[in-house]
Amino acid sequence: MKKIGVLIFVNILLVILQNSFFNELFSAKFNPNLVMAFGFAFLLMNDEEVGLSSLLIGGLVYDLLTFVTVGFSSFLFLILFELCVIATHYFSKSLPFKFLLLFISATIYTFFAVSNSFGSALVVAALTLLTSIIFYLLDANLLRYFSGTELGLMRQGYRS
Amino acid sequence: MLVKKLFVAFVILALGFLGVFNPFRTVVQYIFTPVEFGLKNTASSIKDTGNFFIALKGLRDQNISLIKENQNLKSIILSLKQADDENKILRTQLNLKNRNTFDKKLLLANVMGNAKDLTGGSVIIDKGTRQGVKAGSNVILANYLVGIVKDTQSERSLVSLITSPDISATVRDIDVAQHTEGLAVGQYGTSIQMTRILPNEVINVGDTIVTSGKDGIFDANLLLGKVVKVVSVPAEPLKSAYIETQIDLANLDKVFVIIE
Repeated sequence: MKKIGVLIFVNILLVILQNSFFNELFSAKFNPNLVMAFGFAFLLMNDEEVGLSSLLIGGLVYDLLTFVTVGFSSFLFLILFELCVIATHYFSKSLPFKFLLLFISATIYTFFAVSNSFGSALVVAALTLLTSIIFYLLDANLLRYFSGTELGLMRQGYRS
Repeated sequence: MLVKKLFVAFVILALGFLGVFNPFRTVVQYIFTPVEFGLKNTASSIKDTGNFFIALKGLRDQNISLIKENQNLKSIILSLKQADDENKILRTQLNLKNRNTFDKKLLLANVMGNAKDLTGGSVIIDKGTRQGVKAGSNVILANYLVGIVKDTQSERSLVSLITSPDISATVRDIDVAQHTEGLAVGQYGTSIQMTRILPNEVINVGDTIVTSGKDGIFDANLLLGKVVKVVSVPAEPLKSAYIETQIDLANLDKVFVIIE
């Protein structure tokens, strides 16, 4: 329950930053989807359970603070996330493959939910991927709290 | 677990379509709107500071040209004052109501960019239905038309800017005697195109374009901008012109909503 509370807090913070601070600083064309980046960072860390919860909560908060039907982003996030999970189980669990999946997912979401411009969707997707990698690299300090997995060991294994 | 979460998301989406969450959304927006607009202002200050240092080199040249422009404007103001005095005397003589009196109520609103619009053709303002904003309300800054309210929620509204392709307004040229009319359409957040100008009608670069009010959507005599280019293709029956707005739509901070 405490973790859910922290997830709600973090996602509110991310949505507010995404909609106001980053949107003003970088403009909408170069604004990464922080909610998606944060949720999908758990996919990179093999913690799908927390990733799903984060995307459900984050999508809901995002819709509440924008002009979108409530639940739309959550639903789309969860479907894309699960497709990525299935793909990793069947094809590869390597990080580069997950990066590719995240990039495709972010492109699809941006293209259908934000802009019909494929070029703009690619830019936003690339920035979302970059942000997700940053979240992933922060795992020792922040994300491990949610996942409770031995990420240091996992990453050591990956690097070797 | 996934099926459970997907089901929850689907139920939320279904209820969202029915508008069940609207009261909750109102509360959430009531709490977070000031925070969002505060953060936007902070980002805006950071951006301005950065831009200031970047533009430092060109500021001297800009200053010199502004001094010259200021001198020209002072002379224009002087002639306008004389015309104004003359106008007042004539109005008194004719017993006419002062046309400059804006008899509609204006509502001041803060502006925040719309993260869901990558074209920059819309913005979000911090006033909604609770403050009397309705879909279709005109949004202005000074005498300039900024856009129109497309969607409203309790605490905020979505405004389509005049440079958005969603917007078209009937306009006229006030600098030519025949008051050439046309239809102004936004060009994906960059400029405005004035279309449907008859070949025999006159329109020149530098002319001032205002709304005519004939569309019933926009009030009349709201400034759009100046003509920067006139396009006349011999094969096409109608002319078109490109209008540049005199306000910086990309860096809007505050606007006024005309409340009917």
